[in-house]
Amino acid sequence: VEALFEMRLAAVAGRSGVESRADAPTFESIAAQAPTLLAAARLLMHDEAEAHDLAQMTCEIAMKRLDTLRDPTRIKGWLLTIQMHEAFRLRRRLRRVVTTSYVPERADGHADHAEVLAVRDAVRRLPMRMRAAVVLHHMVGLTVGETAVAMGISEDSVKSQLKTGLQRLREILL
Amino acid sequence: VTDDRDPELEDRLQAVWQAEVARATDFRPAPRARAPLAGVKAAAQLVVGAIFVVGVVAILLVVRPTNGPIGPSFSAVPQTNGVPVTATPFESGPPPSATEAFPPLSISNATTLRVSLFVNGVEVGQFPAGAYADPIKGLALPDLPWTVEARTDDGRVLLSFTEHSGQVSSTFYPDGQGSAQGVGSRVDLSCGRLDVWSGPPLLGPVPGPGTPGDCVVGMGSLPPSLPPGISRDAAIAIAQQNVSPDVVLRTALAGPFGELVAAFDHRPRGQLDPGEPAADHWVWAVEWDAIFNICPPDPGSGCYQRPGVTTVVIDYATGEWITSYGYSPGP
Repeated sequence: VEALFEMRLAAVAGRSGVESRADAPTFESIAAQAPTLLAAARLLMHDEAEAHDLAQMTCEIAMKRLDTLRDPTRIKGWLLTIQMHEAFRLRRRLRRVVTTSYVPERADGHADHAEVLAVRDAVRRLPMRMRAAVVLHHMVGLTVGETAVAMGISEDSVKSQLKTGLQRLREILL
Repeated sequence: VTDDRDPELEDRLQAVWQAEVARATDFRPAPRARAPLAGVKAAAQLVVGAIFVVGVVAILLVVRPTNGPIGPSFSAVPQTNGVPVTATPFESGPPPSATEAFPPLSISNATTLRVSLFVNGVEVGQFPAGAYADPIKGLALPDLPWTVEARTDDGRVLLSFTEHSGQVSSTFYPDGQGSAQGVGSRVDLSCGRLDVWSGPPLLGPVPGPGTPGDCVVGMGSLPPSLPPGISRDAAIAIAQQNVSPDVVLRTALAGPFGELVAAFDHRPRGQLDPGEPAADHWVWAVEWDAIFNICPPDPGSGCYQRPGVTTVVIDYATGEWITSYGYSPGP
């Protein structure tokens, strides 16, 4: 097992130019991205528990497939690809389940906080695919190409979703 | 996208994102815990499984007849195009002891079209792409004889056959052998195979290629109260602006959004996302065969191409683009 592990690390280093084993992806490198995963999950799912489950599940799947990640610098896009796959799968499974545990936050009186809540609520009101495209591209910062890969759709579809997403957000936030 | 940038809105989205990340800073995935008794539990499951297998083998050895196969078996070799299917009985044995009626109707819709089933001219059910029901439960069927038809949404008859009383039956013999007969029909389209049968299911051969264009579904009869809308050609022209130039037209269908989205977006009927049009809002759904570039997260694997379907939904009255869907099922 140790020998195979060494070979795997060597393959990672060989293909991505990683200089040392310290650069290879580890549980810690996944854990470092966990806040990003949970933040995205909270915007994608309508339920706090589902968001936590999604982020946790993503990390577990990532750990199982860690050896397939050859370029550690792309770990964020890789993790979000796993997360989007799981999010759509969860959504299909939970489509008929009405969740009630999501309680919208209330503004604490500060204008900035109210603004954040308003925009976040507007994002959550977008359809799932549109919301996913907006979150991944405009919030997480993935490129259109990376967003398309993460969502498993074409770049043209992503562009369409983004265009309409911004338009609907403007309408909601008016 | 660059033409539709909105820096102010994007800044607001970024502010929300920063707040969300700050709120999630403390989140750390839990390491996968191993149940303390996992080993014991696995061993117990192994023992139970072994006992079960030994028991099943023992039962089979006790009840196995001295000659012939175990349990009833059939050798139905069905034909297509509504020709009655008659199975060849196995070698002669004792007289039959029982004859059972087979389920009334079954369907395997391996096409990408939604299919409606008609019996004696009355619609008895709708079956989305990929539907399989053997038998179809809950059908309200008239007395035999039946004229069974499968139609597309625009009323085109894809297949039909006639079933008379006594055509569907199965016979069991005490020695475990038997025979079955039934009727059914099959059509191979360019978008997949459709089987409808009564009795034993239709078997081989492998699906044929179909005919190009045989899966294009046109506009059905519209309700008279519907306001004037854009034509099918206009809808296709508008939709074409939202897809890559190398796609091939598959279907252009007008109808209520709720109905169409269930078929094209592979979701249960009536399940709409917030912000989507109302279920009874009329739209055009234009579907195209497309090739998707799939790029796995692993950069070493490289990208590959996979066929799929992309659907553009536009407003029936105004032609305004509403949404697009891409679907590329895995191999």
